[in-house]
Amino acid sequence: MRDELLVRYLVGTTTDQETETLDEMSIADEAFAVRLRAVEHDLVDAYVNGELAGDLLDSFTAHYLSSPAGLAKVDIARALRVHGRSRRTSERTSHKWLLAVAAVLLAAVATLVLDDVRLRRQAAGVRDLEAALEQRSRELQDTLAQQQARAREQPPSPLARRSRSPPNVCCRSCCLLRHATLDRCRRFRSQTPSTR
Amino acid sequence: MCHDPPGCYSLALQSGPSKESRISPNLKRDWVPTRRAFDQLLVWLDDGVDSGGKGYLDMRRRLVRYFERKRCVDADDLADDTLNRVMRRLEEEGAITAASPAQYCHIVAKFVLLEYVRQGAQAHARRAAPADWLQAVQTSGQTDSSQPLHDCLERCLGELEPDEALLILEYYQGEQRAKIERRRRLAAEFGLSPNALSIRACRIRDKLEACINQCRGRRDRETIPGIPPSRDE
Repeated sequence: MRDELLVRYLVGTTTDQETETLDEMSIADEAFAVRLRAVEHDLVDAYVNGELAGDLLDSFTAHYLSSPAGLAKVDIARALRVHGRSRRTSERTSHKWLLAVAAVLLAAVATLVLDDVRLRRQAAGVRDLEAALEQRSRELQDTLAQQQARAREQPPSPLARRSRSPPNVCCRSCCLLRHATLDRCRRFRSQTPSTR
Repeated sequence: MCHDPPGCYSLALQSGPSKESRISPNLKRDWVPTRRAFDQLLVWLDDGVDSGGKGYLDMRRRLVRYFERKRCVDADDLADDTLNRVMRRLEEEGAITAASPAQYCHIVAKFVLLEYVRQGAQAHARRAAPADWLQAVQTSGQTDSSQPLHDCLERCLGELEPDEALLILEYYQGEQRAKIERRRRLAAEFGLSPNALSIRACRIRDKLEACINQCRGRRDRETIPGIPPSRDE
């Protein structure tokens, strides 16, 4: 049986014979009664949504809405519609809020990650520099030790004996030790030539 | 077998002689439904399969809707009147074999309806219909009936199981194509066929509507004195 016939039955436009048959089925057959109710719910919703037109709308208004039960069903369908709309609106609003909060959190996390990467790079640079300095320091200590050993093996020069000053190479090594790099040592030595 | 589904026997007793005499004066005025007659009706309606009173309740609900579709205001009373007549006939005859229980109930309901219409009760009752009366009160600005309705809807939705409330709100939302698509998706989500889903949604909506109508009836009586209580409460 088509839904269209059930709709006509509900709005009172079926023939007497059709009406008689459907009346009996609606009382005798539970499955049919449920299906009729389902069609009725959709019909009422369609009316509330403004989807009915023409003869169907006229019949619905004249027949269905003339009963208190029909009016009550339309009222409930309207209330359900309003409830559904407000529910969807509040869902959309809450979705927007969630999106905004998620965006802020994402931005904060991204900033933290970038900061972390930058700091890690800086720390790695510092560690490399430290290692280079240590290496340099060890090299210089080795050089100093070698020069000191060589100096002990050679007899002191008359000039050195007279001035009792440490050999120039020692002075240079000390300078290197103190100032770490050769450039800085040279700079230091060029500023204070009289001490050598 | 259930011998006393909730409220059934009391409903039958409530709509005893006084109701019959109002609607159908030709019936025996002194006949009162008995427990035995009521049990006999339950067995007969079950047609050999013990439904625990469900058969009676389903039949009564279908009769109420039949009278509602015929635009009767007293649909509950007329359904009870129909079942009382069937009960009395069963008690008198011992059995009804001329038609199946459902067919026989339909035949009796037709007579009840004819008598009701002949008496002009429909026109009379419609004038006194709570919905019309409320509408008149509403237009005069004494009350706003939409807010109580929305309150009742909220309350009744809250009384449903969570998945029932979700289903009813989703199933009946949207228009035309969007609605069809939504229902297809819902059927997949609930693991039901489209037909099974429509039956389930229909039953939940019936339950919701019954709850709202009861709630509205209570509120109307609280705010507007003079409205009698409905039979469902």
